[in-house]
Amino acid sequence: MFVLDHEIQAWCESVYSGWWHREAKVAELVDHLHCEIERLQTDGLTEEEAFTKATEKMGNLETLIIEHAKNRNFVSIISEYISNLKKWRNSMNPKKAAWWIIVISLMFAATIIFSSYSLQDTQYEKYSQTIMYLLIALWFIPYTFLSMTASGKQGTIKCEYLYFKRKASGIFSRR
Amino acid sequence: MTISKDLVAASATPVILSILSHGDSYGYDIIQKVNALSDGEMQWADGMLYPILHRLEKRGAIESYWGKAETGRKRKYYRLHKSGLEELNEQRKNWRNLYTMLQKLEGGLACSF
Repeated sequence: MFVLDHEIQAWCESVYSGWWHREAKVAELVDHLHCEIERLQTDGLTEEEAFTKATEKMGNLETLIIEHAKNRNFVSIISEYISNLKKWRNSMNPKKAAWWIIVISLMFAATIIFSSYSLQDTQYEKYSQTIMYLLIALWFIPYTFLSMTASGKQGTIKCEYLYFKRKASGIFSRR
Repeated sequence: MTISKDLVAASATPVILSILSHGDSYGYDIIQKVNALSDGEMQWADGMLYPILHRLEKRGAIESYWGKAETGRKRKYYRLHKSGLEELNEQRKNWRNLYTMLQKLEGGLACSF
């Protein structure tokens, strides 16, 4: 069944497929298509016919996608990634954030150990300490980022503590 | 006869800036004005207007704000910025120079070459 609003929304979203924060841009195209469809309907066209004609008048979809993509530079892509990461983080509860912090911390620890071992007895051995410090410093980035969930840092740290406490008590009670 | 694609592309910026110099406007309205002013000879693919508007906005020639249409729909309006007006004046000068040159050539001055 043809639902005009859905069709318009889907078509406009396809122009900005792969974009984050496309809502405003999509809304602009939605308004344009509605205006054109309303005009065509006064000429006696059905909703479906008017939609087809209006989208044809917008131009070739592939060309439109390419033209719009030209406006995306490196900085805007990076800022889109960061704000999407923020969105993802804010959607998490402290428990999930704590879980992610543990996973990432383990990954960093594994990388530090691996790099120390792999650089041992090589010409790069003198750098192993620097790499370790660098990795520890880098670890603070995801840690700080994930600690600041929408529910606040305190909640996350408390959750990490409770998670460890629960795991530890589980291990000891088994013994 | 419709205006060639290349000429349409070359003149898009001064045409948009010129329309906005008469007052704030939005995408669909700009297209309608272009059609009316050119008696339908300037054929734009409607969708191609928006990348141009976004580029102009990015370089500060125009600025945008959200308003509401009569129907209550969200509508993005554009207004000309001071730097956009300067760009428009510069473009007008260039197009005038070009037109003068073509007129001179049409008038027979080309024979002196």
